[in-house]
Amino acid sequence: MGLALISGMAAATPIPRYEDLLGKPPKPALPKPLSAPPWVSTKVLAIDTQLDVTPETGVLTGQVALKIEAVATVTQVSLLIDGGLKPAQATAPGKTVNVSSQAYQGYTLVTLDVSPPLAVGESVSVTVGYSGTLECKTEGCHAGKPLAFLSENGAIPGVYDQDNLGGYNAWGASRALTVSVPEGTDVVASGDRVAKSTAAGKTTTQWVIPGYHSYGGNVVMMGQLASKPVGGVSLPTEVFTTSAGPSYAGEMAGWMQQIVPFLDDQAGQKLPYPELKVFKLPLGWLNIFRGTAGHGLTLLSEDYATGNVHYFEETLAHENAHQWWGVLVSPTDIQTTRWLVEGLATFSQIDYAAKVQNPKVSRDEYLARRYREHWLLVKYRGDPTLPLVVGSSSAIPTDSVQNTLWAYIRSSALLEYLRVVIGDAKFATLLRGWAKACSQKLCDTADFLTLLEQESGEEFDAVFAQWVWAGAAVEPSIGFTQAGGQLRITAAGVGSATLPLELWITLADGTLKKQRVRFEGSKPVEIDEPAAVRSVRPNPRQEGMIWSRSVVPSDVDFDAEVDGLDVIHCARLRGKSADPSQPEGEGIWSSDLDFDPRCDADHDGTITDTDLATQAQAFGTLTGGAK
Amino acid sequence: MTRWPFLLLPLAVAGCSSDDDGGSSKPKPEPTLAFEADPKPPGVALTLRQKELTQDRLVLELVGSAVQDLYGVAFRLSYDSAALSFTKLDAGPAWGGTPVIALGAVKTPGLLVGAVSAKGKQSGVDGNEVVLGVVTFVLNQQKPTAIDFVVQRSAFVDVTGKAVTGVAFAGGDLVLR
Repeated sequence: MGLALISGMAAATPIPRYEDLLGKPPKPALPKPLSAPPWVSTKVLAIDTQLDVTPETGVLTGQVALKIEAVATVTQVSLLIDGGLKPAQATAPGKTVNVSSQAYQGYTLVTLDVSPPLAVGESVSVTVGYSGTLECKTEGCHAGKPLAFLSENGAIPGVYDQDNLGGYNAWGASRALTVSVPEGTDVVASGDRVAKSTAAGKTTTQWVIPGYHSYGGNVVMMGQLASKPVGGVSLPTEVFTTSAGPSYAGEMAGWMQQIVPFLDDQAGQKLPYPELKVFKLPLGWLNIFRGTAGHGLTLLSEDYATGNVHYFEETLAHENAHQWWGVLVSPTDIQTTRWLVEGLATFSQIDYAAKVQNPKVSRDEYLARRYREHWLLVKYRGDPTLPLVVGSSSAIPTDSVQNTLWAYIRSSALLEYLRVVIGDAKFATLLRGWAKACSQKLCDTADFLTLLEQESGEEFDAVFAQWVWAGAAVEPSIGFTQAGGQLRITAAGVGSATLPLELWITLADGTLKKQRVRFEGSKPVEIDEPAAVRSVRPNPRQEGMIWSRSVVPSDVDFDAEVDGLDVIHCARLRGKSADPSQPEGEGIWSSDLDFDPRCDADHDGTITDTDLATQAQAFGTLTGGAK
Repeated sequence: MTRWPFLLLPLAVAGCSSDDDGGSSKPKPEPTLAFEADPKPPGVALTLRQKELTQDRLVLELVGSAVQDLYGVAFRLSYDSAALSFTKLDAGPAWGGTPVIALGAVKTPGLLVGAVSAKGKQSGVDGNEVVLGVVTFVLNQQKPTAIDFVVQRSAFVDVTGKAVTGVAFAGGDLVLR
């Protein structure tokens, strides 16, 4: 049995740093979940794992008991464990279980042949032991001091069924994990801790996760640990570090006092855990384990603090947002999309930065500036034609940069665009509804669309058909004319697309009016507006997704004229680059958020005298309404 | 540029003028054009100042007052196109050695669209009574005209890219004396 459908990343993770992706080969392939229905032949009801481990050396003895139920006839179940571990005998009441194993991409693939096969509706518990010394050639574990970790597909087996559809067919299984370590070693794991005991020089803890399918990672951290409680939040919350490296514990505890209520407000409810554990991974762990989120446990590497501590804080918000968007609400189409997992977490991260870190900056201005980066990254480095929900998992980019732009950047840009066009209040209600309806339930993109349409009262089928299940660069050229009290607005260059937009209409006296419209192909939109109009532009918060320009070339402020304000705007940007990792850069990949693609006439990603000369040629063009 | 036919007109007008005031012994002097700047407003302002006025040419300075961190000036000047024709816009000495863009265009008769701006990462201009630009017109005829800033379309922009608030604009008049 091989694992045919494997590629990409397997857990809810923080956004990779740009410089860490450069020149890197694609990550090792990992198993993928399948879209709904999540069970084909084998429904995994429970995965109970017992581990006895020495964290410093990786010497481990384990046993897993799988309770499975046959949806179709079941002859075989497979496990993926660390390459240093080997299986022992397997048993199942009333069955003979033949165990075989083979090396597979740094793992050991264990195949359990069950005889006689399970009939439809039959359930059985299969128990198999394994032992050895962890090699940790993959991302599934790390042994050593001062910190070790275990996760799925390592010491904790990943489970696959005979249909070879990937590991997440185990979604919905309840999990129990019992970990024994030498006395004096602390353990923090995903799940709710239900027991702790010490005997015979061993400390044993037990952790449980209720049965719901989840994209969250199952992780165990082991070492000499320190902790700091987070006061005044809606559930008991603690920040953990190694005792040897407690830096940022105080800061993180302070940030969590803001992050938890932010998430409570976003989801419309508090997290349903007895405790939230936040684990700061040590500096230098970026390439060992940069972070993830699992049931009640959020982990993040201190490497994200290098350079800009504010970015560390907002990344901590991102990773905690995964408690909702990825752990509790895990869309079943995760095999073909990340937009409601990584996209929503990135969207939450930027929202947190706007609301908590930059409360004195105009929200529209701040969000527009942050999503400018998404425009730059996708336009100059990405592929806007890639659907956010691809047709099959093989279409997901394997290149790390492209994968990040697809999973995190364009996804969050679409979410921000949707928020603008239905309005902040309705979108907030939508997210709360999404959390309420889909937490620990089977939902997917189609369910999100249904909620979006219910909440907004508008049709979004065409929009999703264009930019979720298909892809395209959306580059409308906005023009306007005014006569007889009517403002006639056009959006050229979008073919026959349906294009909802929030427009900002600035009158000659400076008054700003916000107007939601919906363009259908080349058909103009007409609005009653007796006052003289100076400019018409889309709300710039939409620009991560909607790369709008004026219909008048070189007019960058949408007044249909090329005048001194346009020239000064672009002249200031001479020498700027759309590349990431800019000195004094901002945002996710340290981009220069002043860069305006509208000034880049030759679309080469830099603003040069050539671009300014193009604008100079058009200078003085006056076709706008108010002179 | 069809400059010369217009330039002939003032001469023709002058040639046709006659002394018909009833036999005065002293010939009346020919009226001549003069530029009268509007009163300079207090505070941050952009004003016009005559640099040169000849039979066929008017050169005006764009003078910035109380400017701080100024990156660029965008302006529009309205005037009677029968009286004046725009020739060129040059950057003024206020910019020193800073790389500067100076653009002027008249695509609507009687409306000069202009910009003088630093380019790239630059520190701004600070100072009072600094000459930001120099505008040259040809005199089409000896005809008075107001030369006014279109205030709604004129602005100072600072080094952060923001329009400076509270800027006053004062143009002037070309008058016959």
